[in-house]
Amino acid sequence: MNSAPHRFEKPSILSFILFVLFVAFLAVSFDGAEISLTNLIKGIPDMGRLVGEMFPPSLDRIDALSVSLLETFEIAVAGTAFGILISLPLAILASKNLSPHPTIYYMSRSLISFFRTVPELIWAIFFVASVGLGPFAGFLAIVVDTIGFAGRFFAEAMEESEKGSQEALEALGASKIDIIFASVIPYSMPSLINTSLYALEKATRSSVVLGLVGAGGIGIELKVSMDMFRYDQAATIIIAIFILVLLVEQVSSRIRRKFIGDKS
Amino acid sequence: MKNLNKSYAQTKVLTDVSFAINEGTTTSIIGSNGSGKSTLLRTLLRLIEPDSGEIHFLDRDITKIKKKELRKVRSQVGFVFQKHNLVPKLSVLSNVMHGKLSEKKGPRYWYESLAPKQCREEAMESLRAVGLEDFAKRKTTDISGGQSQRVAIARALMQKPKIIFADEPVASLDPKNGEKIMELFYNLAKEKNITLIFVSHNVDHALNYSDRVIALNRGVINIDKDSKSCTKDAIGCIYE
Repeated sequence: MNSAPHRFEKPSILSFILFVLFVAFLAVSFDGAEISLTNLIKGIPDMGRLVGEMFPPSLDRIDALSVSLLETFEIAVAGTAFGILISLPLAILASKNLSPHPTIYYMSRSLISFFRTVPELIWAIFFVASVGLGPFAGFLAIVVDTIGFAGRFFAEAMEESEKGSQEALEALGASKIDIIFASVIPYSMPSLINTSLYALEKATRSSVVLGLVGAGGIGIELKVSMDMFRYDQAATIIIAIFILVLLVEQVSSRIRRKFIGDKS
Repeated sequence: MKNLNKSYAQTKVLTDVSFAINEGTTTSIIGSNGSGKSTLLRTLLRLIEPDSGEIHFLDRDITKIKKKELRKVRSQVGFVFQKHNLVPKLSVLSNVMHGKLSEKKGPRYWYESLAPKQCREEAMESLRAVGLEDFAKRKTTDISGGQSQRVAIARALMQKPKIIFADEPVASLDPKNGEKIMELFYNLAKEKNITLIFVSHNVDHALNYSDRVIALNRGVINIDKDSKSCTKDAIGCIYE
């Protein structure tokens, strides 16, 4: 009679070496990040003073701040919408099962990866330098960032779409375009909606930061307030950003529940 | 079909399969798992490319035609799969209308909301033929397996097919529903003079719903007889 197998399999020499190397690198990383409990404790009074100066938040420039906040949200919505529109055809070209040619597949995948790898702040700096200061640079940065994010997840959703109905449509003489629109997209729709909503949430948060480099929105207001030591004004801006992001997340959760049945 | 061959790596799935089928007749293909039945049906429409051989129907050599021509042929042949293969997120009506997809380019047959009135009415007629006209607006995820298979048949009828291929169409259904679907298939084929070729594991279905029985064993035709001259024991032996 065979005895019960061991609880854990004996690791191979290679996996053991890799594990040891990982632990060693983790230890070096803690050192490299200059983690210091002493500095953290020393900094607590300053944090307290800063928070103290933030309250009560100032409502002096609430009108101007509201306009900037609206502009931030507009950049996020327009950038996400445009980014999603471009992501859809790009994702089709970047799906292994739908792409018309392996070269097009690799090129589309590489383009999406490149857009995703470069952070949105770098894109914002690039667009500010090329199209000038203002919300248009922010819009372009959000578009590129959305393509990098949504393009990948759209392509993966399309690759994972159910194959049976695609074969059935192929068998009745449907073209590839017909199969994509009549089977792949309807099947992937919950995933596409989900990704689009996450892209909007992400863009809302990003569009706040983009202002720091002059790409429009409320970020520049936050930077000026901090630079001028008007922490009370900065507090108002942070609270406004928090409310905006929270509202977007709440609304997207509701939409998700309605279309996908996500209970989270 | 003449000398059809298909292999996967070193494994021969179909070896010199040859037969001819008369228009308007029903033919069953039986055989144990892995005997090549489903591969045979798929190669007929080149959903799987054969290695060699000839396939002639609708006045063409299917193995030699180009993609565009192949799509034309496919548009005249209904194919019903074991698991119905409907688009899960769409309505029953949209799925039935997909039978028209090869007819015209563009989005009109992608979704029922874009379809012209005439097409919607045709789809309702197909649903009526399979007894599901009250289910048009339902999502395919909200209907039973038997109903789904009826929708798949309605989709095939939408093509106004000259031939229907059915790959184990009742394998995932209970015996009672399976019997009903086979009866529906047979009656529709006879009524509309459609040539029906179906793959089955059920010897009774082969005897009751086909004019001719072809049995495959390891990719080779073992039995090819008129169903009236067959007995259950005679064709059941291929499963032993």
